[in-house]
Amino acid sequence: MATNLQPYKFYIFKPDYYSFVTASGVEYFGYFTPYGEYFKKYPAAISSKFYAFNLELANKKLKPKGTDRRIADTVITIVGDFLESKINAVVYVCDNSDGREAVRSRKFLSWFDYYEHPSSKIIQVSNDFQAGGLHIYTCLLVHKKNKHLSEMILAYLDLTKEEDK
Amino acid sequence: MPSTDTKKKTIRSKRSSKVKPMTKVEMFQKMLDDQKIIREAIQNGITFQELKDKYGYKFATV
Repeated sequence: MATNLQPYKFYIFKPDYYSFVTASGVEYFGYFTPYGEYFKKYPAAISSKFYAFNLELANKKLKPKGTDRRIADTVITIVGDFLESKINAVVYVCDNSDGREAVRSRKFLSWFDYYEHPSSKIIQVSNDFQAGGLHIYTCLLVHKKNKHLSEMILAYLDLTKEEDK
Repeated sequence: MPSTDTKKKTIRSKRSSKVKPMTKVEMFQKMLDDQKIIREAIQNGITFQELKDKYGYKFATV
């Protein structure tokens, strides 16, 4: 692991989720949910390895203030570990419930946009598109050495392709 | 030999039992809805175990 990361100490609550608390006392839960149902037309070796990543505040009343780079470092570490198996791929779909999906997308993409740390092992593909009047922001993260790398990228691009009108 | 009516019924019942694939809009709406339900559940003190056992959500093994 590269030395320039300063992740918060995080705990793994096996088998389901990660948890960490920031310096300002804000607690987050990070977890992955299977996304195979959205890739049904692909072989199980590919579809069953797609997961969504979500990061949630444990308490919605305790919100972070300002920028905390260590949250990004922690997420990079958690997602990086998950992808280290070189078989999984992670899809991030930006929550649009508060109208801040574009900001959320930019922030998430910037987190994985660094060199010389574990995210440099990860390929990031992002695609945003219109669907049913919604603007959906998404991103795919997959390890460069994943043996299904190209199939997974193509499957993701197909999923996030705008439907023909 | 079965009557035509029976044949029609059989075909109709097979068609109706077939699960209609989700459209892209439905897929992304479901992703966002599930995300929201899980978030609100967690923030209201529902455990991951309960989300699995009572509500049928699945999580990757970490």
